[in-house]
Amino acid sequence: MTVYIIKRLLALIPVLIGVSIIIFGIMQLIPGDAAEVLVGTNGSAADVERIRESLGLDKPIYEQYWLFISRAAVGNFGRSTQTGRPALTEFSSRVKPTAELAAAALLLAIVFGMITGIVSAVLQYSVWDYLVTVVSLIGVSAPVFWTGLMMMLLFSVWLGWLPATGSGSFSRLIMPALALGSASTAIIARQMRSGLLEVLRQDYVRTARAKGLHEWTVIARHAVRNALIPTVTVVGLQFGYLLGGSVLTETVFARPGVGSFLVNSIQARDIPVVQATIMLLAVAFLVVNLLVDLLYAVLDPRIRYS
Amino acid sequence: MSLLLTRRSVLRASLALPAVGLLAACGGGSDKTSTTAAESTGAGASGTTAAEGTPTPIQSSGSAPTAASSAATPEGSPTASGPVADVDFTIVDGPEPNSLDPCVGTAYQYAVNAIFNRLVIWNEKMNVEPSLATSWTVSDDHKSWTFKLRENVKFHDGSPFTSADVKATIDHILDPNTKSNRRANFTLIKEVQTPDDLTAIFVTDPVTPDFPFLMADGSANIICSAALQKMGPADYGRKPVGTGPFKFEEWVPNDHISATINEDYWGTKPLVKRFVYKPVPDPATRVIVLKSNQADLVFGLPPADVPDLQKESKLKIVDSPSLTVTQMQLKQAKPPFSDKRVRQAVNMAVDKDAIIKNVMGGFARPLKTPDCPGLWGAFEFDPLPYDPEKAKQLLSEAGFAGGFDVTISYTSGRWPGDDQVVQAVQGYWGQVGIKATIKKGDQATFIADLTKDPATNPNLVVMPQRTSYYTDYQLYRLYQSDAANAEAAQRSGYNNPEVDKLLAEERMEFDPEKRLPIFEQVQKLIWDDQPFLYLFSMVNLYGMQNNVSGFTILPSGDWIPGPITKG
Repeated sequence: MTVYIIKRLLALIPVLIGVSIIIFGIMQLIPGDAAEVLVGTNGSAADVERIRESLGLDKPIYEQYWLFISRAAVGNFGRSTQTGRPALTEFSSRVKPTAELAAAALLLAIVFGMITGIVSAVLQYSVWDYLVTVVSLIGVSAPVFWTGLMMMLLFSVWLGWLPATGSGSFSRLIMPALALGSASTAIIARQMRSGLLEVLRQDYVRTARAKGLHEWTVIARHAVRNALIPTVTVVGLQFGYLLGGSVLTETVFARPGVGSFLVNSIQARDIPVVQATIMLLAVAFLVVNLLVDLLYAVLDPRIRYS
Repeated sequence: MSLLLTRRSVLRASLALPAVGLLAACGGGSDKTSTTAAESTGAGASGTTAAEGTPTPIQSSGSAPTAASSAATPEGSPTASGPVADVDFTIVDGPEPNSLDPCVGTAYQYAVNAIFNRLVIWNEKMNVEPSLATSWTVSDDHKSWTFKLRENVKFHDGSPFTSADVKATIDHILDPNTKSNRRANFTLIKEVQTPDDLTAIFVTDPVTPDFPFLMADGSANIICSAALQKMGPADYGRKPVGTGPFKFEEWVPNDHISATINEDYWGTKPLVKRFVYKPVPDPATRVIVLKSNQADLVFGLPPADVPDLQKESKLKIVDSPSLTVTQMQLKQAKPPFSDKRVRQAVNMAVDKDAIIKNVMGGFARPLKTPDCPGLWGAFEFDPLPYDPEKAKQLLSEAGFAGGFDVTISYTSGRWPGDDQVVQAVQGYWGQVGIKATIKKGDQATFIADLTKDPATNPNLVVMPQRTSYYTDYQLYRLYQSDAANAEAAQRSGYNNPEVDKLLAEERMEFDPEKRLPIFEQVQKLIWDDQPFLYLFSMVNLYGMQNNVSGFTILPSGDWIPGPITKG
């Protein structure tokens, strides 16, 4: 088990090198550079040249990449071209609101998704089942920037219950978490429903019922547990979706965070910050998926890692 | 499998963990609500009027900056016209600044206005008035400018404001490591002499009659040399120390920047206790923030939403003149745009009044000058009329009867209405046979196109917005032909030797009476050449809550913190 975890963590290294090369390549391919953005439309060609030099952007590309990767290996991602502060500092000062948002959205998605999924599987073809199906479809299809604005209109402008923007308090977290979590809720509900339906047809469920267990005990202890494996896989993947979705959510709700920061940094061609952010997000995503894999063994004793 | 924990306990923990994280994350404090209880301060008891504390203009309108040489301000007489209310004054706009170091910031920054002062400040007529400097004179040989500084001014960290800070500010801008985006404008300063604490002498080469204007530039806000040295430039941009009416309080990235009232402020003290700037990138969200009263003042409103907002009784929608102009620059080193008839045709093909009315909702003004309208030295001319038939005729005379292909490059979302304006131009041009492809990129992509060589990109059209604070700055950088010139940002390939000659003349002319005719002549030549598609000049458009009064935004985009009240 420990060996397995170490192996998986070591496998991160080639993945991260690959990620860094791809990002570096993309940032070179798109037009414009950090110096031009810093100078803006009102500056002069001389200003651009001078800033380009001082940022080291005039060096050959392979030299720039080597400089970056050799520093990144020891945890130094360089300085933001926009603010002049270390890229890691910029990243870490924005992690908390995004972590809050992703955690809240994921929690909402897990709780509501599982409950509605279970209800619609157990009461298959009932009104509740159809209702869950329809609401799920809406949840998956409606984009965050639409649900977000509609919620703001209702709760901030008409009812005046919740602040429309910002971060730092529970009341400011509710709407973004609902907007971001709604699609994941729907996906988890659908997955839970189909997983549970399949399990409920298994022989051991019939056996459990035959030995006279209460229907809810059959579902909770014997069926749901076995339907969890595919659901947990989906939850792990939803984490990646939530990180991506935080970009839109943070922009619509004017929330600080990694998502909106990443977009700003790409637009500013701030390569050190883009690299640091994407690599750290990649690590988070890979670690979450490692945890999901480990959770399989917990859920299903037949799965072993060695 | 050797797990210390049972499967059941791990399952339980895995469900509980996100919940704990969520609770911990949300427990971090309740909403800050502003109270309306008025709080009387010592300064408020003086009972003087705001007008007495306001620096009076030292020049009559329309005169050139060189004439300035008097000290007509009530020096160091801090007055406030009433009690300071314990309320926040919150401004919302789109961009998050990259730094609050005045010479590094890329976006226009409301917070910098609140925290810093310059030697001189713009007024509504885009002339300069005393601020940290009380008077200034130029030497007979025009090479050195002597500024007398205001006495008894303190920075927010308590250190006194002296000529050393003025010198440090210029040194900081010129230091290549600062990465100032306006450095090229300041390279003519060869030396800053500080004979005593309250005198700063600038030696320039070449000489320039516009030097006081340069000192009113946002980059030239005076920084605190002691604090800069202590903190280093990157941190100084994060926790700025100035002499302004508000002291920096905190900056939560992408959330807000706040500053509290400076009790020791030398000038007119604001009547609100706290200044807050919030970046809200999405225009639709800004409308909601305004409607739900979560900000006192909101900029960057989409023109299409304005009629609806005007119906709200608790809001005021205001528009005031701005120096920002919207033009499409035609790369004209080669055909088709090297032909004057083609440039006139692209102007005549577009119904600009219709765009102003229908796309911009009336919140823009017709552009009648190659300068920025409202500047001293700007002359207006008759715009070419909307006449698609004449445009077609001009095109066929120039040998383009079958039209030609162009690409219009711009950044979407920099100002409300930009997408629709480009589409409208595409439509109008299509009617005279010019097939335009729209290239919508982010700012970096756009700037790359803007700076592309006109000789190798003859069919490229770019749409930047330009803001210039004085006439020479606008004319020289846009129409002087030498693109390699350090000050010129001109990448359109426009080249008229006569214009070059007149520009070289006016920028050495210290007598405003002699300078004005040159300005008129050169602008007439440029207007006749029609190097760009002149679309319109912008207005400063904002919405504010009805209970806010005393807010002024100058054409330069600077706002005046002094007289703001919230009742």
